[in-house]
Amino acid sequence: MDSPHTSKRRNRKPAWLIFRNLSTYLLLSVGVLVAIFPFYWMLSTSLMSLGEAQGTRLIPSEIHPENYVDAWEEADFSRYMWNSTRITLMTLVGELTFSTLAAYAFARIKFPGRDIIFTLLLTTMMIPAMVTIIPNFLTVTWLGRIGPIKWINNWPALTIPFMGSVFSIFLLRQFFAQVPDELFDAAQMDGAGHLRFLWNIVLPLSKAPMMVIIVLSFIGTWNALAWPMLVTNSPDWRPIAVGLYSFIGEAGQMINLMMAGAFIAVIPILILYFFTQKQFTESIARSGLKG
Amino acid sequence: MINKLLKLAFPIALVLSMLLVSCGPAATSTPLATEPPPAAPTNTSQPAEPTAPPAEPTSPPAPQPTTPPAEPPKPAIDPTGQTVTFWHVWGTGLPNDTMLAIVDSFNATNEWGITVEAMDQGGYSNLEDALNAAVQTGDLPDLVTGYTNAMANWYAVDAVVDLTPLANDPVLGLSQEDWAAFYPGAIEGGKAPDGKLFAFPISQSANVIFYNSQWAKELGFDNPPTNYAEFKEQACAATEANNNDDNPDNDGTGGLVLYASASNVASFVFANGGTMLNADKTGYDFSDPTVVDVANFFKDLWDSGCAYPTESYPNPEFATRKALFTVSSTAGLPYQIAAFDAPDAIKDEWTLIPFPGKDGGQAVNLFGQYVAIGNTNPERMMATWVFLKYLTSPEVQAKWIGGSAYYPTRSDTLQFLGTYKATNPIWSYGLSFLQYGAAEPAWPSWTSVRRSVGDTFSAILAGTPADIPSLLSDLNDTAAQAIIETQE
Repeated sequence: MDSPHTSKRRNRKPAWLIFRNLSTYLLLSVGVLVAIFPFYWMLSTSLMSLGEAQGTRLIPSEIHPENYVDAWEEADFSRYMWNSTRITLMTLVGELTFSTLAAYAFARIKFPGRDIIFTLLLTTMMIPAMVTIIPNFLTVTWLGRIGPIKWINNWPALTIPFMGSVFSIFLLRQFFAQVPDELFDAAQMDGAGHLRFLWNIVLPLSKAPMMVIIVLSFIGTWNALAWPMLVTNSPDWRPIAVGLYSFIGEAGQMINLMMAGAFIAVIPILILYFFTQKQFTESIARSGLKG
Repeated sequence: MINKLLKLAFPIALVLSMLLVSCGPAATSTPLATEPPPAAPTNTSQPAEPTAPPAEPTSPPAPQPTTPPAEPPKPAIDPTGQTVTFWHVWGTGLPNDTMLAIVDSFNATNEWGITVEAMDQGGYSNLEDALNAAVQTGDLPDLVTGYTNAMANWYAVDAVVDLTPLANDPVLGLSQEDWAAFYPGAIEGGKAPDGKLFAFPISQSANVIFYNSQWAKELGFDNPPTNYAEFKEQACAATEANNNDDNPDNDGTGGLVLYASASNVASFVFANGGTMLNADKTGYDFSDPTVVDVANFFKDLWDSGCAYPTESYPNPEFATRKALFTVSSTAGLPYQIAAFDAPDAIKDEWTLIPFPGKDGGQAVNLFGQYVAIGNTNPERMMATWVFLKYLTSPEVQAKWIGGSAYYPTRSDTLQFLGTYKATNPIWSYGLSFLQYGAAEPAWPSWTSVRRSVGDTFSAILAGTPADIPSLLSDLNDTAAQAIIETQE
């Protein structure tokens, strides 16, 4: 039996371990501060007067909660928030549907030219979005002219081009390809075809990548500015980022109202991430897609 | 089971929260804070009113009918019933409300049944992107605002039209009195090198110097600087005062906040009597003494430590005695006034001054809010002109000025701005500078050349004085190449 003295000595951690732990926590604390500071600055600035917000103060000398009301009214946020909501939901549903089907085909159905088509698809990820913006604009204009629905200044131009995402197809294809063939064979013996196998077996196993797609697509659509500005010319379908942009003037910015607006705009993203962070983190860790 | 319920609950909660947020009742509480009264302009030797209204018409006057017709004459092109789309950049706040009110008023009262649809396009760059895309598809707006150099590009590809025939229409054009009322500089700023009027000024602002006159007096200067030597003396005195006080945080500040942008360079060049163009106005000339003097002046101020940069708009620096001089558009007045309301601001008296020349000239750089008419069809273009004429009529322009804080482009608008002038003394004082106004070149190449000017002057500040001639010579070459590229 150890004497109390011996036990005390055994419980004491070596100095290098304490130093390592301290360093780790210090580093992580710095990381947390770096990550939190922009949010703090946004919140703090949103509560300042315009004059104070233009300076370098970090704490408001006087709280101005009315900035939130002003921002909401000035930038017609109720309309833009509703527009962003419906654009995002339509895009999400479309992206999940088409990306899932395409990814499944690339992962589990053999057809001539499959790998070449998939490679070609991947190469499109290398082209900067700004390069294709005018050709895409011409395409949606043309589609609006030949089709029954107008595309410009309407939901099709804002949603349909984003329903086919190469990144989502790639991500899902990698997960679908890992599903063992034996599962498909068993499902086939029970009379299931590809669609039933996808719906009943593959998708329930792929919640994590689906969550990643939902979160990334949601953020991308919610924050979109350049494309919506190009394909809309009235507030009927413009998203929330346009409302934020309106606080930038010719010779200055209403920075306090802009930050109040930004805080309002970021709330849905925070809620979504709060509910999906477990699957999101899991998927990122599993797929090795860290920053 | 609970887990499943929770999993089902989160998307429903998310959607509901967004719906609730977006469908929430309109907020009813506090209206926007009213703008605080600006600091009173200090007593300077500048006149309070423009002293030189334009005497000559800037364009040929419209022919006037010699005998009154029995019934109103009909225009050659009938604008009746047209719908006009107006792309603009004033999407929020009072400017937006004012523009929409003007449009509504026009739609309700015009005798031709013309309907104008005003559409905010975000910032100038968003609008330019949208119009460049519209040029490709052919779906042009009827009326579009923008920078004149961008409009010059659109004019070069026939996306916007020469306004002269519309403006001189015998029935719907401008009268001789109208033409005479416009400030010549404003009209000239919308003309192509061939004299065609492709852009029309609805209002204007000016690049000016904000000057802390109270601090200057404490430093021993009773009047604003009128030449480079006086300017440097005051800027360096302010820098020295900050370096020698008890506050180490303001060391190195105090003089001029200098941002070597093309607009600021142009402002100082105009004050030297220069234009940055060659004698026959066919190209740029940055080796002209009026430009070289500005380069040497910037370099001298910079190397003396009497000018320094900031990362953002220098409004807080100006309001806390970290800058005796800053350069700003008059459109930035509300932001500067707000900066003086911050708790750490020093409530000094301040004013606007024009840019001084090397040996005593003075000028401001005029930024016009121009509009152009899209190349659609004759009826739509005439209907658009009818709206544009209404928008620039004195009473309506006065409404626009009241909502936007810009300056008018015609002298007869001032008669409707009495109350506004009385309640906005600094704005009112700035009116006196319009007579010194000059505009940057409205050339297609200016879009890229202005970037090169900024780069060159930044290089001048970073280099040695001996580099200045070669850097300006290189700038001439770059600018000449830009002209060739825009003509191809």
